[in-house]
Amino acid sequence: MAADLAHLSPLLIVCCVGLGILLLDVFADPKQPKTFIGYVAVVGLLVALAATGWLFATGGVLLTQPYFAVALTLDPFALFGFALILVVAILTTLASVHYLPSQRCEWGEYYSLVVFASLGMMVMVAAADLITMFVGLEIMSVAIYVLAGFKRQSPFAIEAAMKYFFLGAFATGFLLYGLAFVYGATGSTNLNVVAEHFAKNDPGLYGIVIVIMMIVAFGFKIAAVPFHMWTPDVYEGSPSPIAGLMAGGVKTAAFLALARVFLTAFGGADFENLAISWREVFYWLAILTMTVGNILAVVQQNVKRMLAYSSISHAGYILIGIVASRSVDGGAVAGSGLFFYLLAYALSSVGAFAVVSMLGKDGEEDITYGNLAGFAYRHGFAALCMVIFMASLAGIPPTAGFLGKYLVFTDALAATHMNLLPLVLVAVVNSMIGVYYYLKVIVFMYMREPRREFETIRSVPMGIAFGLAALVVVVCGSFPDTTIRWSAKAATGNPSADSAISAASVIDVPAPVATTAK
Amino acid sequence: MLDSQIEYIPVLIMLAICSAAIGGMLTLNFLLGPKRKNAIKNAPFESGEKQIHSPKRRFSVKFYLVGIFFIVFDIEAVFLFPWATLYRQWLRDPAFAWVAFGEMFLFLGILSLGLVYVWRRGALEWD
Repeated sequence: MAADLAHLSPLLIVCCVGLGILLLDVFADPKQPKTFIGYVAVVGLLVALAATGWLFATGGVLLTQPYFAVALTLDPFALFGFALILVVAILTTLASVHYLPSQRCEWGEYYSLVVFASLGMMVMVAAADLITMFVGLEIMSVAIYVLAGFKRQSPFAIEAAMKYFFLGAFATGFLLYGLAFVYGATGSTNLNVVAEHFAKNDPGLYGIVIVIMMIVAFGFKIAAVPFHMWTPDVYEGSPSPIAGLMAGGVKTAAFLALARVFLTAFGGADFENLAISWREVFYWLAILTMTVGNILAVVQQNVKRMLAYSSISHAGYILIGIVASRSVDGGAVAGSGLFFYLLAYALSSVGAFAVVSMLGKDGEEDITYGNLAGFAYRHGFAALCMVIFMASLAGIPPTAGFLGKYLVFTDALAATHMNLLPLVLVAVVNSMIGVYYYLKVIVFMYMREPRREFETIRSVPMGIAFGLAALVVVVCGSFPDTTIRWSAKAATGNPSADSAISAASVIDVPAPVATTAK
Repeated sequence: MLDSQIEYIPVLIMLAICSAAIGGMLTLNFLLGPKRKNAIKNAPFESGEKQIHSPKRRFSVKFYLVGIFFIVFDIEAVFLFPWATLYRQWLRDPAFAWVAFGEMFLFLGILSLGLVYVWRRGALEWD
């Protein structure tokens, strides 16, 4: 029990930090600026990150108490996700502390919402049960809905929050419906029990319905085409650091949860032979997502919208990693490229949005390429970091983005269960299209004369945020050994998947009783 | 079909009967009920009571806040009932009893923190 609580410390610390700063805000002097709450949040998240690092170093832990083990799995897969989410949350918070006052929306709740959103994401990636995953998803989503509309005096922010809320609720409906079908087919929502059931029984029609529902639900969350319509509007209207959190954190969490659900619960051979195999669907979704995202990004005039479409196209590349992955022994995820790519993508996009935050002063509805003109002459360091992020998103060495693409493509080419060569070719062509609009940002920053004096936010923590992100992106791209080792470790999945199944069968799950029969 | 699914069939039958009963009553009423429409019959209070003002007024947004708080703390009670029902069953396992006890009080504790937040934020005051 005590050992389990120690092992759950990343989640517990994040929860306590969220509650603590919520109270700190209301008990603090209301006239005081809220900056210090942001710093407290950063310190708390750093402690949680340290705890995650300790657990990751031990190679993943097994929760001994059955009531914890049925709900959560702390395998290296989950811990890798924890670390990534915490880093993204820390960078987002640092980028926000001086951004909020400049937007006249400095309320202390912002920081606790960021922390609670991270908690939800962490629960999602560590979930061993579909219900736990759903709870995590809701904790995350509700916090993000509020954060999306945080600049409540701006009509764009209201639009962003409403769109995100309605579409998010719609997607959640699909998820719940799929979940109900999973329960109906197997009598359980535990991923391992579901996997065991489908290993013995043919999923049949249930399988098709479940796969369709789940793909729609996750498609919305990862913004895969054709479920991507909300993304540009929401990213544009949200505060820029929050757009970074959505692109870097929410998407990472959704992808890891998707990988876990599909590879663990629906990873069996019978699901491959269904009339609608999820792997085939993701194959075509990946092609659509990459192509549509890239082509629409080319024609954007607004940098935030361009980054939104770029994040859509990146969802396509990450889907290749999912298609190439294969569950081994029920639960393990083969293909470490997926993890490396997620790391590279998350840090590059959160960094890029942190740089974009600099440009927002007194309303930021108009972050066009034109406003970036001459940016490099006034903000050399920020422009340099932006170059690194753009290079990483475009996949140019020596950045992490290049290596991530390389690893995902090699995973895909090495896959034996499916011929993924056409998919990789489409992805390579798309990467080349992407270079055009990423380079456009660099061209405007360095080679155009500034049109007019454009006010920017000068903030040290913001600089630390994108500086750190750029440093990690370059280091992971140039000296990738450690990160590749971590990704490989994360990809080995749960070392103790079998024990988790036995733990699930030990706990006394009350059978559904038909009370109406009385 | 699993046994657990068969147990839900009565629910489906119940649903069908309820829908048929309600739908039938509404339809029959619509088809058979006598209708003599005039101004007095169409007034909101058929008894002749005069309407004080139109209901299409704007309400203070503060009612919304009160409504939200009501739901939040009502949900708390909703969670307490199944917990209380199952608690005796959980007591049989001494290792789990404390967890079952602690978990609910942790939940109540977090909710009370929420109440503290709401109070300090001034959301409980009408003005």
